[in-house]
Amino acid sequence: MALQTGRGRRRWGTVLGAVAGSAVAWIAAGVAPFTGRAYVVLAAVVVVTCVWSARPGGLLRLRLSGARTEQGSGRDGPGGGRERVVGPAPEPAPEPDRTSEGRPATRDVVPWLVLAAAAVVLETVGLALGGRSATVPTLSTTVDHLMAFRGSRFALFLLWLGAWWVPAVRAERRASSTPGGLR
Amino acid sequence: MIGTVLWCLFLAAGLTWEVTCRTGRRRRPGLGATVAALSVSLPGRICLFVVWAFVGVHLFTRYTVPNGWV
Repeated sequence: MALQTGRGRRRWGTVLGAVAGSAVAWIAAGVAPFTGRAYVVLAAVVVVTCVWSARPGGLLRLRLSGARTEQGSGRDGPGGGRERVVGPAPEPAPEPDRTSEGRPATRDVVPWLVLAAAAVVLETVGLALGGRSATVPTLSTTVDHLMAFRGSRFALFLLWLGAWWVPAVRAERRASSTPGGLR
Repeated sequence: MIGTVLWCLFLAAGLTWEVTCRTGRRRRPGLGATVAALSVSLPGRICLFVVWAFVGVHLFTRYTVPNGWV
């Protein structure tokens, strides 16, 4: 019974969060750039996120270091995705592509590092050419073309909000159901 | 032009590798697992938050729409 109540509360929390996030994204997508209102809206979102994540039980307060984590089949998002705090348990034999700390082996993340390095190089070249070069634009100049429409701004804003909130809420929920998961 | 093509190629390469990670015979850590490894420590999580906030401010308050604001 209590479990069902907890699940129902979580489901409502998810629905309310999605509605609130969409409302904020729609408002933010309708604000002109380089205006006081744009800075106020963004600052409010960042501050609320920071306060929420820094509260007791929030993602920034979770005790993940020192505890072994499991990442289900190498899937899912930042802040844990399917990462699970399982406590300082006795170490079983590591999987072939995991280090003994449960982190991905270095050789497996090399493609991501190469991609990130290439992006940094291209961004640097773009900035060196003035940022708005027609030959090598920066990433933000490229993305600017998507910003011409309120719908695409709304979608990008939702994506940005979800990039932090979805994994953060998942990690917090996992930790709250695991003894010793909170600081 | 070449820069835009390169950005698109990077995006395609990332998506392809992510799909390979998730569907290949030997499962490899995708982008999520890679970032999750960063977020195990508190400094890593703080760095991720700062990067997230920077991206938001940079994209949504300082963008310049090519054909004027709609």
